[in-house]
Formats: sequence, C-alpha cells, structure tokens
Amino acid sequence: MGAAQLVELAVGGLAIGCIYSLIALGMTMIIRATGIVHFAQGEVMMVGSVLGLSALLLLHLPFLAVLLVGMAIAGIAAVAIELGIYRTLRMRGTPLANIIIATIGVSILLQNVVQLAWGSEPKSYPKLFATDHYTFGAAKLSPQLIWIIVLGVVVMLALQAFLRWTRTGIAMQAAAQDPEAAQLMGINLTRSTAITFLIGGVLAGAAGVLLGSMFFASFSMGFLPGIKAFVAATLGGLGSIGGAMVGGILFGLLETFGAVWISTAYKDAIGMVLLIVILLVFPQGLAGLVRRGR
Amino acid sequence: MLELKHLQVAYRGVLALHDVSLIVHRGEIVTLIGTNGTGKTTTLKAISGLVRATQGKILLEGERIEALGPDQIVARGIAHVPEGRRVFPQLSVHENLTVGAHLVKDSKEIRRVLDEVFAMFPRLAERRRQLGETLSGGEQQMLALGRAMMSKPRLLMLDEPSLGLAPMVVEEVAKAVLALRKTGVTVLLVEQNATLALAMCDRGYVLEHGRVTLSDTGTALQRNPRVISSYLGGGVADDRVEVRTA
Repeated sequence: MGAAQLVELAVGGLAIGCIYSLIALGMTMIIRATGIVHFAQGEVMMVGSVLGLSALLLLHLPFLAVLLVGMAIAGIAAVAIELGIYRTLRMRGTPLANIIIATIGVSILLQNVVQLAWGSEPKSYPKLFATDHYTFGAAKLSPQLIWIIVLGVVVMLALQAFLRWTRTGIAMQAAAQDPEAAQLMGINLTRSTAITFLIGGVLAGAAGVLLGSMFFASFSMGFLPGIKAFVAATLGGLGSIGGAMVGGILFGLLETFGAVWISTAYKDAIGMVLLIVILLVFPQGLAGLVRRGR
Repeated sequence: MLELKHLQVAYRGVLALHDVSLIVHRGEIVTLIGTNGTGKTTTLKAISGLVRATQGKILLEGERIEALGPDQIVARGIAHVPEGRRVFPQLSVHENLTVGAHLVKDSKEIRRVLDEVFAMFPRLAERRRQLGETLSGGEQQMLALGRAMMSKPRLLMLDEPSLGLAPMVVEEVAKAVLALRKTGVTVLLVEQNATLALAMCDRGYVLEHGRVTLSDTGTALQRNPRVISSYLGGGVADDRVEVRTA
C-alpha cells in the first residue's frame, strides 16, 4: 500500500471516527449523569439526520444551517425522551436495568415512527461540498471528509470548553459525580439531567447530519453506528469523556484499516470482536490504562 | 428561625424518625446528639429536602418548607454539609467552591465570598487547583464547609464534621464554626462526639430511636448524669445499669 493511499484511508477513518466519537460522547455523558446506557443514542442521531435532510430539501438551507437544525432537533428529541420516559420511570423507582432495557424500546420505537412518517427508502443528501479533491502530496483528499473532521473536532472542543469553563458545565459535572451533594448546592437534578440529554442529543444530531452527508439518511441508519459508538465508549473507558473522544476516533481507524487489510465483509464484525476483547482483557478501557499508568 | 414540629420520616414504610420537635433560634449553635442510627442524619436530610417528611411540619422563619425541593431550600438560606464531606472528587478546590455558589448570580458577590473562604482557610487557597479527591480528610472538611459558605446561608447544618479527623484538625474545624457563628450564621450541629458538640453549643437535643428524649442548654446537658453515662464516656458499667432500669 502506498503512502498516498494510507493517508486517504487514515482521513476516511478519522472522519467516521469523529462521528462515532460524537455519538459516544452523548452516551458517556448520559451514563455519568444517570447510569443509563442509552442504546437509543444512535436513533437520536438518525432523527437529527433525517429531519436535517428534510429541512434541507424543504428550505434549501446552506450546509451549516442544516447542521444546526439537525443538532437542535436531535437535542429536543433527546430531552423529550428523557422527560417523558426515563424521568417518569426513575420517579417510579424503576430499577436501572429496566430503564436500560426501555432505551432499547425507545430505539425500536423511533425507528418505526420515522419509517412510517418518513418512508423506508434511504434518501441521499445532495452534494454539500465542492467535489474537487484537495491534493496532499500524492494523496487526494475529499473535502467532505476534511470538513467532517474539522466540524467534529470543533464541536468536541466546544463541549470540553463548556464543561470546563461555564458554571452550568461545572454544575453538570458535579451532579454527575455526586447527585445528592449537588442537590445540596442548589442544583436542580431534573434540569441538570435534561441539559445532559440536550447536549448528548445535540452531539448526536451533529453526527447524524455529518454521517448522512457521507452516505444517505434512513430510518435504520442509527442502529449500527449506535452500537459501534457504544463499543467506542467502552474502548475509551465507559464514563470517561476524553476516553469517548479518543475511543471513537480509534474505532473509526481500526474499522477502516481492518476492512482493507482483513476484509470489507467483516467490517462490522471487527467492531464486535473488539468489544468482546475489551471487556475480557481490559474492561476499564483506555481511561483505565491511563489511570493505572499514573 | 427553624422549627420542627412532630416530624416523622419513613423509608419504604419503616419509620426512621418517630417524632422530632426542635427549635433553633437565630444566632444559636444547637446540637443534636445521639448514637448511630437514631435519626440524626435523617433529621438533617428532611430539613434540606433530600428525604420527605411523612408527617409533621418544618418551619423556616414561620414558613412551611417541608414540601420544597432541595434546590429551593438552599435558595432560602439553608446550607447542609453532609456526613463524609461529599466533596466533588473530580473537580478542583476552586470548582467545588464555585458549585457551592450555584444559586448566587452576582459574580462580584461570588468573588467576595470566595475571598472570605480563602481568608478563613488559607490551605484551600494554596490548593485551589488540586482535585477534591487529592485533599486530606481535614482539608476536605474545610472545603465542604467553605463550599457551604459560598451559598451565603443563614442556617448552616453540619453532619458529623469531626468524623475521622485528627484531634488537631477537629479543633481547627471547630474554631471555623465558631468564627462563622460570629458573622451571624446560625448553626445546627449533628455529632457523635458529644463532648465536642456540647462544649460548642448553646443548646442541645438528645435523639434516641427517632425521638427527642432530652433537651437543655449545653452546660446543663454536660452535667446531666444520663448524658454523661450514655454519651460522654461514662463507662460500660453505667450502660449496664441503664439497660436494667429501662
């Protein structure tokens, strides 16, 4: 394999990896705040992607506006699910394991609702980017992939800045670390958890529009990326924000190179094998390794 | 300032508090003593809204607060330093203190109170960038106290502030509480270390099996034979006598 092809593959892997990271980040934040493994996160992404595309087709918005619309819609959907379903279950004292199973129910429900309302046919995003390749040495790089990486990284950095430097962000971290003590500081847990879902949904919506622009949008597009993002979050160390970012990108690269070096037929299986290996060998993930190293 | 009237709390149908009535006047230090599992912590949690009262009233300046959520109660000027400090482990000292001021909107005011906290606990200022989990037990207690001060409370509730601390550190924490009282803060102190609590307080209540069984001034309680035998290290022999008479 030539250097040029290697660079092209790496860029492709980074782009899809950024998308996994965005989904995994939302999952991670939700796990930290509530303990819920949110298996419907891929479907939240799908809702952002599908309705983002509708907005694009109906209103002829520029790409950046479509991205914002997808983020907003997915964010609102996530908050509605939290307030309408998960919060109600928590208030009734439903065990956590049952709520996690409910997230699978939500995942199926969202797929079916979108299939009914939006149709079963995948619809492709119109060309959003210049089609001329950027050349980098001998490598030809698609502007679309570069944009996905740039936007993905910008969104992730914005999240870090929010969590680290704003009062709401710090309060959310406090609520995730010790909910009871956070309440004694005057933090309203219902609100703080809703904001967590909002942000998780917004990140997933960004992933949805970016992923849609690579391939197409459809009711079933969220399922596999959702599972893969869960693998990525586990790879990074479930519950670690930095781990989710690195885990997603690493997973995207592994999957891309695995498909080329092993077989494209096993592309999806590679991820699942990876999940089993992680859980068997180092269940704490990358974050666990780093912590042990310290 | 604060009044509990026949407060009753049940966890999943099991009574933790049967009947607790007490009064805390403005500017006082009032202590609640009793052995493990008698409902001291539950009483504080009911006041701060973490657990719901099944019966009875909680009045703050004459207004009923027992149905309010914890955030609304903090907003009304009650700060609760929970048992075991409960510092946010992955936040820095400075961030912990900022979270304490969650409901204070004026950033100038926050900076002013922050300076007060750092003046009272210079050690926290030195460690302001360190994560909460890296502090010693005593430093964590100071941080928990400072964090509670950040909400500018009228009433400060402390749950076992001396637990697990070295005697010298206990003294430092006690001094801080007394200094806070001088600034006009009312204190409700829960302690297993009754010697310390009774020495610090104006008045005290003895809690046994979810009921208030005795209340008096701190000095009177220190001389009360029952309190001496049960809570001030009166010896095993006396305990046996009490069991027989009971």
